[in-house]
Amino acid sequence: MGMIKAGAIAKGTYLLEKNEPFVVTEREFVNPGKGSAFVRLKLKNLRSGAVLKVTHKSQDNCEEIDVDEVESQFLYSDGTSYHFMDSSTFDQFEVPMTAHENAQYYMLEGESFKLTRWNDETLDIRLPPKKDLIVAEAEEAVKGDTVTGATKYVITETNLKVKVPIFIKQGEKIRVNVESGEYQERIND
Amino acid sequence: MQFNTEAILHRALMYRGIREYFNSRGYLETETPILTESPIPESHIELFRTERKMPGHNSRRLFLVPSPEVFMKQLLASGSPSLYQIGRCFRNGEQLDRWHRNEFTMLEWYALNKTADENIPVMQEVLELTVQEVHPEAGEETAGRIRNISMEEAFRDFAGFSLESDLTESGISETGKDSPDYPGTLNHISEILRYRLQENSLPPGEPENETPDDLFHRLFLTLVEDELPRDRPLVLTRWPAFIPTLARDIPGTPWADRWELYIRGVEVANCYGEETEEVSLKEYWKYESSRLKKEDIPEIRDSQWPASIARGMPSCSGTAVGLDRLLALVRGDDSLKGLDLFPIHDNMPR
Repeated sequence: MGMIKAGAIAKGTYLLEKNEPFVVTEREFVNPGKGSAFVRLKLKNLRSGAVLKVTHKSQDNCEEIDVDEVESQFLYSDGTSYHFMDSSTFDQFEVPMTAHENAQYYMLEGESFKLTRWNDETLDIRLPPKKDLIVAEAEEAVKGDTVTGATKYVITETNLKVKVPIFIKQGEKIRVNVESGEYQERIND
Repeated sequence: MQFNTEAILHRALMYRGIREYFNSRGYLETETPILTESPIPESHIELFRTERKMPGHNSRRLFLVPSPEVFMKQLLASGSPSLYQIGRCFRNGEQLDRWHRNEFTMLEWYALNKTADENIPVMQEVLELTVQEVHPEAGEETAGRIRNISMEEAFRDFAGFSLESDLTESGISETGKDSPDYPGTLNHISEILRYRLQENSLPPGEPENETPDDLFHRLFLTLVEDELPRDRPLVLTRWPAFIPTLARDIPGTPWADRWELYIRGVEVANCYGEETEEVSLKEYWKYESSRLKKEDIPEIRDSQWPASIARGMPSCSGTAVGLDRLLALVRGDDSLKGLDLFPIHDNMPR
């Protein structure tokens, strides 16, 4: 466990607040002008998924969690936990889905991911910023509906519902922004 | 290199509009130094330092101004009419994120015989004219009426308690800043604010490093500021008088005559009904000087300043507007990035 000045905290920093592990999802500097400089943080509890807003003076000492990164293979999800295998020791372990609901839409069975671990507890699944997914269900475009910017919803192979341009068809591959869940482009392999 | 020519034009149009507005209302445009030996006495502002080389002599330390306030007030004290100025200001130690830059443009105006509240309609008009310059096609559409919320209303609505009751209980409304009881009253306020932090499961900081205004800001920034409505521009009026500033106190209340303007949650301007009493100016000076020593920043300020201002300071209200922020927000940008012409960078993630 190391101490970190609140002013040095960045998005993605792992912190211990009230004995619970958190990751910083947003950080904003606030200089009230007539007072000390502060940093306003939005944190995600890595056990419950709950969001916590805290404000620290830039000079406050915070507890930073020293994490390990472990390369692991995603095996399957049983609806409450993800099952992974450590790629170097071949040990299998479970990660509760609670704080990582979003990951189910971006992991395909057999793929490898970097997991952030702390004392035998998996804190975080490092997802790539973009993910290419195959469209599993798509409505046929209505003939004549060629207005620029027209959109529809499709379902990907991972069961993610994505708003896409009208021309996307079932079986095509699309690139999705993992943080926002938004469509970025069609991928032609 | 590609430049955002639209943003360059918008800036020019905004400056033209502001100058026309103030010139036609009898304000005098001033230009005060950017390089100075005696910047404003504010312990929370980190300054850019430089030095003046003099052949055959030791070099002299100079600073880039964080605001033109100290100079404009001396002009007011010497009998000038209402003033305005558009000038570059510098703040060191800023993280270069969406809304912070080390160098920025400030519009500062001082209106004689106006209170802070009476400066809100002027702010509204400056906002309107900026919208008109940037979006002439909008016609009658306006920037939206400025919503006016007091700090007390904001605390009741968003923090769930009455700050006024807490402050009144401390006795601050009856205790002058030069009274021997004032430090005890401040301690009482700190105790109350610590209790409120605890009640809301918020970190109270380390007691030896926490001033009452630090404790207030912990509450305000976490529970209140982020919750303020964003559908229209908003001025938050009447700030606690115990926060050391050059705003005058509103007699018989725990509040100072001061407001801040927020547009879409971003702080854009602040305004004071200006302090004119020598006693209060000196107390502010003393407090800020003691803070400077504590923070190990050398004492460099001109100690004649409070007295020289108090001698002729007229009743007036001063407003400072971050024009880069105002322009970006009126343009509909979500950061200052679109206005950056030759940006400097740091390694912190944005």
